[in-house]
Amino acid sequence: MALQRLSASARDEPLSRTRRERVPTGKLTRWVVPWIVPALIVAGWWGIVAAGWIPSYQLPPPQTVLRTSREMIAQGELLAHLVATLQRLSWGYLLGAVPGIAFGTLTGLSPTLRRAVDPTVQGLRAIPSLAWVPLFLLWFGIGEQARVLLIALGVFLPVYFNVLAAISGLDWRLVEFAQVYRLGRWRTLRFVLIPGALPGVLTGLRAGLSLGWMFVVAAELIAASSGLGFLLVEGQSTMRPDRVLVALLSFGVLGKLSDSVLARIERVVLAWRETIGSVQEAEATP
Amino acid sequence: MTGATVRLEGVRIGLGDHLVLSDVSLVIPAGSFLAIVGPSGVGKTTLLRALAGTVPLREGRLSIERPQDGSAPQVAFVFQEPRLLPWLRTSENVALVAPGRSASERRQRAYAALAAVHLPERAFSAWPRQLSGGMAQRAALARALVTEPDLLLLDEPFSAVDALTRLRLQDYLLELWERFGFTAVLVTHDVDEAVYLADRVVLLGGRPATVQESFAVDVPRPRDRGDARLAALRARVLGALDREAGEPIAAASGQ
Repeated sequence: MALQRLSASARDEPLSRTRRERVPTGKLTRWVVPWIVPALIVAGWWGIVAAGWIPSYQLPPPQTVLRTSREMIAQGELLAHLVATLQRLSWGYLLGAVPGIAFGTLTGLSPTLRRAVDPTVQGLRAIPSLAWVPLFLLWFGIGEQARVLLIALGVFLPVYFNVLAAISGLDWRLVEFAQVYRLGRWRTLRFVLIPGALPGVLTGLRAGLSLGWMFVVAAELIAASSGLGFLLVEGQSTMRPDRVLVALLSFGVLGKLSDSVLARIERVVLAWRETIGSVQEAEATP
Repeated sequence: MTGATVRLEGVRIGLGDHLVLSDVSLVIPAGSFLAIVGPSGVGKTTLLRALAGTVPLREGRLSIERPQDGSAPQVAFVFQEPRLLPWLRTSENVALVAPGRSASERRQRAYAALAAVHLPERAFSAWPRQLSGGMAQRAALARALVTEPDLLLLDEPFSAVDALTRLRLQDYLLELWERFGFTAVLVTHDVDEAVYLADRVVLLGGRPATVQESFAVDVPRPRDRGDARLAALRARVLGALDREAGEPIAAASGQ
Protein backbone atom coordinates (compact mmCIF):
# COMPACT_ATOMS: atom_id res chain seq x y z
CA MET A 1 0.00 0.00 0.00
CA ALA A 2 2.60 2.45 1.16
CA LEU A 3 4.74 1.57 -1.81
CA GLN A 4 1.92 2.18 -4.25
CA ARG A 5 1.18 5.52 -2.74
CA LEU A 6 4.82 6.48 -2.95
CA SER A 7 5.09 5.69 -6.63
CA ALA A 8 1.80 7.41 -7.36
CA SER A 9 2.96 10.63 -5.74
CA ALA A 10 6.28 10.39 -7.50
CA ARG A 11 4.45 10.26 -10.78
CA ASP A 12 2.43 13.35 -10.05
CA GLU A 13 5.22 15.52 -8.74
CA PRO A 14 7.70 17.24 -11.00
CA LEU A 15 10.80 15.11 -11.02
CA SER A 16 14.44 15.51 -10.16
CA ARG A 17 13.72 17.92 -7.34
CA THR A 18 15.26 17.08 -4.07
CA ARG A 19 12.43 16.06 -1.89
CA ARG A 20 13.18 16.50 1.77
CA GLU A 21 11.39 14.85 4.58
CA ARG A 22 8.43 16.97 5.56
CA VAL A 23 8.11 17.44 9.29
CA PRO A 24 4.41 17.83 9.94
CA THR A 25 4.75 20.69 12.39
CA GLY A 26 4.14 24.41 12.16
CA LYS A 27 6.82 26.88 11.25
CA LEU A 28 6.81 28.34 14.73
CA THR A 29 7.45 25.02 16.45
CA ARG A 30 10.27 24.30 14.05
CA TRP A 31 12.04 27.53 14.96
CA VAL A 32 11.32 27.34 18.67
CA VAL A 33 12.25 23.72 19.41
CA PRO A 34 16.04 24.02 18.91
CA TRP A 35 16.14 26.93 21.38
CA ILE A 36 14.50 25.12 24.27
CA VAL A 37 17.65 23.35 25.49
CA PRO A 38 19.91 26.44 25.37
CA ALA A 39 17.22 28.45 27.17
CA LEU A 40 17.02 25.79 29.88
CA ILE A 41 20.80 25.81 30.25
CA VAL A 42 20.94 29.58 30.64
CA ALA A 43 18.06 29.49 33.10
CA GLY A 44 19.73 26.73 35.12
CA TRP A 45 23.02 28.60 35.02
CA TRP A 46 21.33 31.75 36.32
CA GLY A 47 19.48 29.78 39.00
CA ILE A 48 22.59 28.04 40.28
CA VAL A 49 24.52 31.29 40.60
CA ALA A 50 21.55 33.18 42.06
CA ALA A 51 21.02 30.46 44.66
CA GLY A 52 24.66 30.86 45.65
CA TRP A 53 25.60 27.21 44.94
CA ILE A 54 28.60 28.37 42.96
CA PRO A 55 30.31 31.64 43.97
CA SER A 56 30.07 34.26 41.25
CA TYR A 57 33.84 34.73 41.08
CA GLN A 58 33.96 31.20 39.71
CA LEU A 59 30.84 31.27 37.57
CA PRO A 60 29.45 34.74 36.91
CA PRO A 61 25.73 34.91 36.09
CA PRO A 62 24.64 35.20 32.46
CA GLN A 63 23.91 38.91 32.71
CA THR A 64 27.49 39.61 33.81
CA VAL A 65 28.86 37.69 30.85
CA LEU A 66 26.51 39.61 28.60
CA ARG A 67 27.63 42.93 30.10
CA THR A 68 31.30 42.01 29.80
CA SER A 69 30.86 41.03 26.18
CA ARG A 70 29.05 44.29 25.48
CA GLU A 71 31.89 46.24 27.05
CA MET A 72 34.49 44.30 25.15
CA ILE A 73 32.66 44.90 21.91
CA ALA A 74 32.23 48.60 22.65
CA GLN A 75 35.95 49.03 23.37
CA GLY A 76 36.84 47.14 20.20
CA GLU A 77 38.77 44.69 22.33
CA LEU A 78 36.81 41.62 21.29
CA LEU A 79 37.06 42.54 17.63
CA ALA A 80 40.84 42.94 17.87
CA HIS A 81 41.21 39.47 19.40
CA LEU A 82 38.79 38.00 16.90
CA VAL A 83 40.72 39.47 14.00
CA ALA A 84 44.04 38.22 15.39
CA THR A 85 42.68 34.70 15.77
CA LEU A 86 40.96 34.64 12.39
CA GLN A 87 44.06 35.96 10.66
CA ARG A 88 46.22 33.23 12.15
CA LEU A 89 43.67 30.60 11.34
CA SER A 90 43.28 31.78 7.75
CA TRP A 91 47.01 31.73 7.07
CA GLY A 92 47.46 28.42 8.84
CA TYR A 93 44.48 26.94 7.01
CA LEU A 94 45.78 28.11 3.66
CA LEU A 95 49.31 26.86 4.35
CA GLY A 96 47.96 23.52 5.54
CA ALA A 97 45.10 22.86 3.15
CA VAL A 98 46.83 23.75 -0.14
CA PRO A 99 49.84 21.43 0.39
CA GLY A 100 47.45 18.85 1.85
CA ILE A 101 45.44 18.81 -1.36
CA ALA A 102 48.58 18.88 -3.54
CA PHE A 103 50.43 16.07 -1.76
CA GLY A 104 47.28 14.04 -1.27
CA THR A 105 46.60 14.24 -5.00
CA LEU A 106 50.15 13.34 -5.98
CA THR A 107 50.39 10.34 -3.67
CA GLY A 108 46.86 9.34 -4.61
CA LEU A 109 47.71 9.33 -8.31
CA SER A 110 51.09 7.62 -8.11
CA PRO A 111 51.19 4.18 -6.48
CA THR A 112 54.99 4.34 -6.39
CA LEU A 113 54.98 7.62 -4.54
CA ARG A 114 52.33 6.27 -2.21
CA ARG A 115 54.44 3.26 -1.32
CA ALA A 116 57.40 5.55 -0.71
CA VAL A 117 55.73 8.28 1.31
CA ASP A 118 52.57 6.99 2.85
CA PRO A 119 53.96 4.61 5.53
CA THR A 120 56.03 7.47 6.90
CA VAL A 121 53.11 9.85 7.01
CA GLN A 122 50.91 7.16 8.55
CA GLY A 123 53.59 6.68 11.18
CA LEU A 124 53.71 10.41 11.89
CA ARG A 125 49.96 10.35 12.24
CA ALA A 126 50.31 8.13 15.29
CA ILE A 127 51.89 11.08 17.11
CA PRO A 128 49.11 13.28 18.54
CA SER A 129 49.63 16.48 16.61
CA LEU A 130 49.67 18.68 19.71
CA ALA A 131 52.80 16.84 20.80
CA TRP A 132 54.66 18.75 18.09
CA VAL A 133 54.17 22.04 19.90
CA PRO A 134 57.43 22.09 21.94
CA LEU A 135 59.50 21.18 18.90
CA PHE A 136 57.84 23.89 16.86
CA LEU A 137 58.53 26.43 19.56
CA LEU A 138 62.17 25.37 19.62
CA TRP A 139 62.48 25.61 15.86
CA PHE A 140 60.48 28.67 15.09
CA GLY A 141 60.54 30.58 18.36
CA ILE A 142 57.40 31.90 19.92
CA GLY A 143 56.60 34.34 17.15
CA GLU A 144 53.70 34.56 14.78
CA GLN A 145 55.51 32.27 12.34
CA ALA A 146 55.53 29.39 14.81
CA ARG A 147 51.84 29.82 15.55
CA VAL A 148 50.84 29.86 11.88
CA LEU A 149 53.01 26.85 11.07
CA LEU A 150 51.57 24.92 13.98
CA ILE A 151 48.05 25.55 12.72
CA ALA A 152 49.16 24.60 9.21
CA LEU A 153 50.45 21.27 10.50
CA GLY A 154 47.17 20.56 12.25
CA VAL A 155 45.23 21.37 9.08
CA PHE A 156 47.58 19.55 6.70
CA LEU A 157 47.22 16.05 8.12
CA PRO A 158 43.44 15.51 7.88
CA VAL A 159 43.31 17.24 4.49
CA TYR A 160 46.16 15.08 3.17
CA PHE A 161 44.64 11.82 4.40
CA ASN A 162 41.19 12.55 3.10
CA VAL A 163 42.40 13.72 -0.31
CA LEU A 164 44.66 10.68 -0.62
CA ALA A 165 41.78 8.37 0.24
CA ALA A 166 39.47 10.21 -2.17
CA ILE A 167 41.89 10.01 -5.10
CA SER A 168 43.00 6.44 -4.59
CA GLY A 169 39.41 5.39 -3.96
CA LEU A 170 38.16 6.78 -7.28
CA ASP A 171 35.87 4.40 -9.11
CA TRP A 172 38.14 2.78 -11.72
CA ARG A 173 35.09 1.73 -13.70
CA LEU A 174 34.32 5.36 -14.41
CA VAL A 175 37.94 5.91 -15.39
CA GLU A 176 37.62 2.97 -17.78
CA PHE A 177 34.51 4.58 -19.21
CA ALA A 178 36.54 7.74 -19.84
CA GLN A 179 39.19 5.67 -21.61
CA VAL A 180 36.80 3.71 -23.77
CA TYR A 181 34.93 6.85 -24.82
CA ARG A 182 38.20 8.70 -25.40
CA LEU A 183 37.36 11.65 -23.21
CA GLY A 184 40.97 12.78 -23.23
CA ARG A 185 43.04 14.11 -20.36
CA TRP A 186 41.30 17.37 -19.73
CA ARG A 187 37.73 16.13 -19.85
CA THR A 188 38.63 13.06 -17.78
CA LEU A 189 40.07 15.38 -15.16
CA ARG A 190 37.19 17.83 -15.34
CA PHE A 191 34.27 15.40 -15.48
CA VAL A 192 35.54 12.19 -13.87
CA LEU A 193 38.49 12.67 -11.54
CA ILE A 194 37.73 16.00 -9.88
CA PRO A 195 34.02 15.43 -9.25
CA GLY A 196 34.78 11.90 -8.07
CA ALA A 197 37.34 13.10 -5.54
CA LEU A 198 35.38 16.16 -4.44
CA PRO A 199 33.33 14.56 -1.65
CA GLY A 200 36.48 13.26 0.04
CA VAL A 201 38.30 16.55 -0.48
CA LEU A 202 35.46 18.50 1.12
CA THR A 203 35.36 16.09 4.04
CA GLY A 204 39.07 16.68 4.47
CA LEU A 205 38.64 20.44 4.33
CA ARG A 206 36.00 20.31 7.03
CA ALA A 207 38.06 18.03 9.24
CA GLY A 208 41.05 20.33 8.62
CA LEU A 209 39.03 23.33 9.69
CA SER A 210 38.01 21.79 12.99
CA LEU A 211 41.62 20.77 13.64
CA GLY A 212 42.64 24.29 12.67
CA TRP A 213 40.43 25.70 15.41
CA MET A 214 41.95 23.31 17.90
CA PHE A 215 45.45 24.39 16.94
CA VAL A 216 44.64 28.09 17.06
CA VAL A 217 43.68 27.61 20.68
CA ALA A 218 46.80 25.57 21.39
CA ALA A 219 49.06 28.13 19.74
CA GLU A 220 47.44 31.05 21.50
CA LEU A 221 47.35 29.35 24.88
CA ILE A 222 51.06 28.81 24.80
CA ALA A 223 52.48 31.94 23.37
CA ALA A 224 50.48 34.91 22.23
CA SER A 225 49.56 38.39 23.29
CA SER A 226 46.42 38.59 21.24
CA GLY A 227 43.63 36.36 20.06
CA LEU A 228 40.76 34.52 21.68
CA GLY A 229 43.11 31.87 23.08
CA PHE A 230 45.14 34.59 24.74
CA LEU A 231 41.89 35.94 26.16
CA LEU A 232 41.30 32.54 27.78
CA VAL A 233 44.70 32.49 29.48
CA GLU A 234 44.50 36.11 30.49
CA GLY A 235 41.03 35.67 31.92
CA GLN A 236 42.24 32.71 33.94
CA SER A 237 45.29 34.51 35.36
CA THR A 238 43.34 37.67 36.22
CA MET A 239 40.46 35.71 37.76
CA ARG A 240 37.93 36.91 35.19
CA PRO A 241 35.73 33.90 34.35
CA ASP A 242 33.35 36.23 32.52
CA ARG A 243 36.07 37.08 30.00
CA VAL A 244 36.92 33.38 29.66
CA LEU A 245 33.28 32.64 28.93
CA VAL A 246 33.09 35.41 26.35
CA ALA A 247 36.11 33.90 24.59
CA LEU A 248 34.59 30.40 24.75
CA LEU A 249 31.30 31.59 23.29
CA SER A 250 33.14 33.44 20.53
CA PHE A 251 34.99 30.25 19.63
CA GLY A 252 31.69 28.42 19.56
CA VAL A 253 30.01 30.95 17.30
CA LEU A 254 32.97 31.30 14.92
CA GLY A 255 33.56 27.57 14.71
CA LYS A 256 29.94 26.91 13.92
CA LEU A 257 29.80 29.73 11.38
CA SER A 258 32.90 28.63 9.51
CA ASP A 259 31.73 25.02 9.45
CA SER A 260 28.32 25.97 8.12
CA VAL A 261 29.97 27.92 5.31
CA LEU A 262 31.81 24.75 4.26
CA ALA A 263 28.69 22.66 4.79
CA ARG A 264 26.75 25.00 2.52
CA ILE A 265 29.41 24.75 -0.17
CA GLU A 266 29.31 20.99 0.18
CA ARG A 267 25.54 20.93 -0.24
CA VAL A 268 25.68 23.02 -3.39
CA VAL A 269 28.61 21.20 -4.98
CA LEU A 270 27.42 17.74 -4.07
CA ALA A 271 23.76 18.23 -4.91
CA TRP A 272 23.80 14.97 -6.83
CA ARG A 273 24.35 13.03 -3.61
CA GLU A 274 21.48 14.64 -1.78
CA THR A 275 18.69 13.37 -3.96
CA ILE A 276 16.35 10.85 -2.45
CA GLY A 277 13.40 10.80 -4.82
CA SER A 278 13.50 8.40 -7.72
CA VAL A 279 12.10 8.58 -11.19
CA GLN A 280 9.40 5.99 -11.59
CA GLU A 281 8.98 4.03 -14.77
CA ALA A 282 6.00 5.26 -16.72
CA GLU A 283 3.25 2.88 -17.80
CA ALA A 284 4.68 -0.02 -19.79
CA THR A 285 6.39 1.46 -22.82
CA PRO A 286 6.31 -0.62 -26.00
CA MET B 1 26.68 4.91 -39.42
CA THR B 2 26.83 1.83 -41.55
CA GLY B 3 28.80 -0.50 -39.38
CA ALA B 4 32.41 -1.51 -39.29
CA THR B 5 33.97 -4.77 -40.42
CA VAL B 6 36.01 -6.39 -37.67
CA ARG B 7 38.78 -8.85 -38.42
CA LEU B 8 40.76 -10.74 -35.83
CA GLU B 9 43.63 -12.96 -36.98
CA GLY B 10 45.56 -15.14 -34.60
CA VAL B 11 44.96 -12.78 -31.73
CA ARG B 12 46.72 -13.58 -28.49
CA ILE B 13 46.12 -11.56 -25.35
CA GLY B 14 47.71 -11.85 -21.94
CA LEU B 15 47.20 -10.17 -18.63
CA GLY B 16 50.44 -10.16 -16.66
CA ASP B 17 52.13 -13.51 -17.30
CA HIS B 18 48.80 -15.22 -17.72
CA LEU B 19 47.73 -15.93 -21.29
CA VAL B 20 44.00 -15.33 -21.56
CA LEU B 21 43.24 -15.65 -25.26
CA SER B 22 45.19 -17.47 -27.88
CA ASP B 23 44.77 -17.84 -31.61
CA VAL B 24 41.43 -16.07 -31.83
CA SER B 25 40.40 -15.55 -35.45
CA LEU B 26 37.06 -14.05 -36.33
CA VAL B 27 35.50 -11.98 -39.06
CA ILE B 28 32.52 -9.89 -38.07
CA PRO B 29 30.84 -8.51 -41.20
CA ALA B 30 29.72 -4.89 -41.27
CA GLY B 31 26.30 -4.38 -39.75
CA SER B 32 26.04 -7.90 -38.35
CA PHE B 33 25.21 -8.93 -34.82
CA LEU B 34 27.61 -11.30 -33.06
CA ALA B 35 27.05 -12.86 -29.66
CA ILE B 36 29.91 -14.31 -27.64
CA VAL B 37 29.17 -16.95 -25.02
CA GLY B 38 31.43 -19.03 -22.85
CA PRO B 39 32.06 -20.17 -19.29
CA SER B 40 32.61 -17.52 -16.63
CA GLY B 41 36.10 -16.07 -16.52
CA VAL B 42 37.04 -17.47 -19.91
CA GLY B 43 38.07 -14.12 -21.35
CA LYS B 44 34.96 -12.80 -23.07
CA THR B 45 35.24 -9.38 -21.50
CA THR B 46 38.96 -9.27 -22.25
CA LEU B 47 38.20 -9.87 -25.91
CA LEU B 48 35.66 -7.05 -25.84
CA ARG B 49 38.19 -4.74 -24.20
CA ALA B 50 40.69 -5.60 -26.91
CA LEU B 51 38.10 -4.56 -29.50
CA ALA B 52 37.63 -1.31 -27.57
CA GLY B 53 41.38 -0.78 -27.65
CA THR B 54 41.95 -0.74 -23.89
CA VAL B 55 43.80 -4.07 -23.79
CA PRO B 56 46.85 -4.53 -26.02
CA LEU B 57 47.40 -7.58 -28.21
CA ARG B 58 50.37 -9.85 -27.57
CA GLU B 59 50.25 -11.18 -31.08
CA GLY B 60 48.03 -11.24 -34.13
CA ARG B 61 46.12 -8.60 -35.99
CA LEU B 62 42.97 -6.70 -35.24
CA SER B 63 41.36 -4.40 -37.75
CA ILE B 64 38.17 -2.43 -37.49
CA GLU B 65 37.26 -0.81 -40.79
CA ARG B 66 34.49 1.28 -42.10
CA PRO B 67 33.61 -0.07 -45.53
CA GLN B 68 32.86 3.28 -47.21
CA ASP B 69 36.08 5.09 -46.36
CA GLY B 70 39.27 4.54 -44.45
CA SER B 71 38.45 6.95 -41.65
CA ALA B 72 38.76 5.90 -38.04
CA PRO B 73 35.75 3.90 -36.90
CA GLN B 74 33.74 5.01 -33.89
CA VAL B 75 33.58 2.37 -31.19
CA ALA B 76 31.13 2.55 -28.27
CA PHE B 77 30.78 0.37 -25.22
CA VAL B 78 27.88 -0.56 -22.99
CA PHE B 79 29.06 -1.98 -19.69
CA GLN B 80 27.42 -4.45 -17.39
CA GLU B 81 26.45 -1.56 -15.12
CA PRO B 82 25.23 1.76 -16.51
CA ARG B 83 28.41 3.57 -15.42
CA LEU B 84 26.78 6.94 -15.71
CA LEU B 85 28.68 9.71 -13.96
CA PRO B 86 26.60 10.25 -10.82
CA TRP B 87 27.40 13.99 -10.69
CA LEU B 88 26.00 14.75 -14.13
CA ARG B 89 22.33 14.71 -14.94
CA THR B 90 21.17 11.98 -17.31
CA SER B 91 21.11 14.18 -20.40
CA GLU B 92 24.48 15.72 -19.46
CA ASN B 93 25.95 12.24 -19.26
CA VAL B 94 24.89 11.62 -22.83
CA ALA B 95 25.84 15.10 -24.05
CA LEU B 96 29.34 14.65 -22.60
CA VAL B 97 30.26 12.15 -25.30
CA ALA B 98 28.03 13.51 -28.06
CA PRO B 99 29.70 14.85 -31.19
CA GLY B 100 28.93 18.41 -32.16
CA ARG B 101 30.58 21.79 -32.17
CA SER B 102 28.37 23.70 -29.78
CA ALA B 103 26.98 22.75 -26.41
CA SER B 104 23.43 23.20 -27.63
CA GLU B 105 24.05 20.91 -30.59
CA ARG B 106 25.43 18.23 -28.26
CA ARG B 107 22.43 18.66 -26.00
CA GLN B 108 20.05 18.27 -28.93
CA ARG B 109 21.78 15.06 -29.95
CA ALA B 110 21.64 13.81 -26.37
CA TYR B 111 17.89 14.41 -26.23
CA ALA B 112 17.43 12.62 -29.54
CA ALA B 113 19.44 9.62 -28.35
CA LEU B 114 17.52 9.45 -25.07
CA ALA B 115 14.27 9.60 -26.99
CA ALA B 116 15.51 6.81 -29.26
CA VAL B 117 15.83 4.46 -26.27
CA HIS B 118 12.31 5.46 -25.15
CA LEU B 119 13.43 7.08 -21.95
CA PRO B 120 10.56 9.18 -20.57
CA GLU B 121 11.33 12.83 -20.99
CA ARG B 122 11.02 13.61 -17.31
CA ALA B 123 14.01 11.37 -16.64
CA PHE B 124 16.31 13.48 -18.86
CA SER B 125 17.08 15.98 -16.12
CA ALA B 126 17.15 13.44 -13.28
CA TRP B 127 20.34 12.41 -11.52
CA PRO B 128 21.45 8.89 -12.45
CA ARG B 129 20.85 7.76 -8.87
CA GLN B 130 17.19 8.49 -9.32
CA LEU B 131 16.77 6.14 -12.28
CA SER B 132 15.68 2.55 -12.01
CA GLY B 133 18.16 -0.08 -13.20
CA GLY B 134 16.42 -0.51 -16.54
CA MET B 135 16.17 3.22 -17.16
CA ALA B 136 19.80 3.79 -16.25
CA GLN B 137 20.89 1.03 -18.63
CA ARG B 138 18.79 2.61 -21.38
CA ALA B 139 20.50 5.94 -20.70
CA ALA B 140 23.82 4.10 -21.00
CA LEU B 141 22.64 2.70 -24.32
CA ALA B 142 21.74 6.23 -25.42
CA ARG B 143 25.20 7.42 -24.41
CA ALA B 144 26.72 4.73 -26.64
CA LEU B 145 24.37 5.58 -29.52
CA VAL B 146 24.97 9.31 -29.43
CA THR B 147 28.58 8.75 -30.48
CA GLU B 148 27.19 7.33 -33.74
CA PRO B 149 29.14 4.10 -33.37
CA ASP B 150 30.23 1.92 -36.25
CA LEU B 151 30.86 -0.83 -33.73
CA LEU B 152 28.87 -1.26 -30.54
CA LEU B 153 30.35 -3.50 -27.86
CA LEU B 154 28.04 -4.77 -25.14
CA ASP B 155 29.33 -6.54 -22.05
CA GLU B 156 26.44 -8.44 -20.46
CA PRO B 157 24.45 -5.23 -20.60
CA PHE B 158 21.15 -6.66 -19.40
CA SER B 159 22.30 -9.08 -16.74
CA ALA B 160 21.58 -6.80 -13.80
CA VAL B 161 17.94 -6.01 -14.56
CA ASP B 162 14.80 -8.03 -13.89
CA ALA B 163 13.55 -10.57 -16.43
CA LEU B 164 10.79 -8.47 -17.96
CA THR B 165 12.95 -5.38 -18.30
CA ARG B 166 15.62 -7.54 -19.89
CA LEU B 167 13.27 -8.71 -22.65
CA ARG B 168 12.18 -5.14 -23.28
CA LEU B 169 15.76 -3.88 -23.43
CA GLN B 170 16.66 -6.65 -25.88
CA ASP B 171 13.91 -5.46 -28.19
CA TYR B 172 15.05 -1.84 -27.86
CA LEU B 173 18.56 -2.92 -28.77
CA LEU B 174 17.32 -4.82 -31.83
CA GLU B 175 15.26 -1.83 -32.91
CA LEU B 176 18.26 0.47 -32.63
CA TRP B 177 20.55 -1.97 -34.40
CA GLU B 178 18.11 -2.28 -37.31
CA ARG B 179 17.61 1.46 -37.44
CA PHE B 180 21.24 2.60 -37.20
CA GLY B 181 23.03 -0.33 -38.81
CA PHE B 182 26.07 -0.52 -36.53
CA THR B 183 27.99 -3.75 -36.05
CA ALA B 184 27.13 -5.23 -32.66
CA VAL B 185 29.22 -7.55 -30.49
CA LEU B 186 27.42 -8.80 -27.42
CA VAL B 187 28.98 -10.77 -24.60
CA THR B 188 26.34 -12.62 -22.63
CA HIS B 189 25.68 -15.50 -20.26
CA ASP B 190 22.14 -15.74 -21.45
CA VAL B 191 21.92 -18.22 -24.33
CA ASP B 192 18.30 -17.26 -25.04
CA GLU B 193 19.41 -13.68 -25.45
CA ALA B 194 22.31 -14.71 -27.69
CA VAL B 195 20.22 -16.74 -30.14
CA TYR B 196 17.33 -14.29 -30.15
CA LEU B 197 19.48 -11.26 -30.95
CA ALA B 198 22.47 -12.44 -32.95
CA ASP B 199 23.24 -13.47 -36.51
CA ARG B 200 25.96 -15.67 -35.18
CA VAL B 201 26.89 -17.05 -31.79
CA VAL B 202 30.48 -18.00 -31.04
CA LEU B 203 31.57 -20.05 -28.10
CA LEU B 204 34.83 -19.17 -26.39
CA GLY B 205 36.45 -21.93 -24.39
CA GLY B 206 39.66 -23.58 -23.30
CA ARG B 207 42.68 -22.21 -21.46
CA PRO B 208 43.95 -20.01 -22.97
CA ALA B 209 40.60 -19.45 -24.63
CA THR B 210 39.87 -19.56 -28.33
CA VAL B 211 36.81 -19.85 -30.55
CA GLN B 212 35.56 -23.39 -29.99
CA GLU B 213 32.41 -23.36 -32.01
CA SER B 214 30.41 -20.99 -34.15
CA PHE B 215 26.65 -21.19 -34.65
CA ALA B 216 24.86 -19.35 -37.45
CA VAL B 217 21.37 -18.24 -36.44
CA ASP B 218 19.52 -18.72 -39.70
CA VAL B 219 16.19 -17.48 -38.50
CA PRO B 220 14.66 -14.55 -40.39
CA ARG B 221 13.77 -11.34 -38.57
CA PRO B 222 11.56 -10.23 -36.97
CA ARG B 223 11.96 -13.28 -34.80
CA ASP B 224 9.56 -14.82 -32.42
CA ARG B 225 10.95 -15.76 -29.03
CA GLY B 226 8.94 -18.96 -29.13
CA ASP B 227 10.32 -20.03 -32.52
CA ALA B 228 11.16 -23.75 -32.54
CA ARG B 229 14.35 -23.12 -34.55
CA LEU B 230 15.63 -20.76 -31.86
CA ALA B 231 14.81 -23.34 -29.21
CA ALA B 232 16.69 -26.04 -31.12
CA LEU B 233 19.70 -23.79 -31.57
CA ARG B 234 19.58 -22.80 -27.92
CA ALA B 235 19.77 -26.48 -26.96
CA ARG B 236 22.81 -26.96 -29.22
CA VAL B 237 24.61 -23.92 -27.79
CA LEU B 238 23.81 -24.96 -24.24
CA GLY B 239 25.11 -28.45 -24.96
CA ALA B 240 28.36 -27.08 -26.30
CA LEU B 241 28.65 -24.67 -23.37
CA ASP B 242 28.06 -27.56 -21.01
CA ARG B 243 30.83 -29.64 -22.58
CA GLU B 244 33.09 -26.60 -22.35
CA ALA B 245 32.33 -25.92 -18.70
CA GLY B 246 33.22 -29.55 -18.04
CA GLU B 247 30.50 -30.34 -15.56
CA PRO B 248 27.00 -31.66 -16.12
CA ILE B 249 24.25 -29.05 -16.04
CA ALA B 250 22.21 -31.06 -13.54
CA ALA B 251 24.98 -30.72 -10.98
CA ALA B 252 25.37 -27.01 -11.65
CA SER B 253 21.68 -26.26 -11.33
CA GLY B 254 21.35 -28.51 -8.29
CA GLN B 255 23.45 -26.08 -6.29
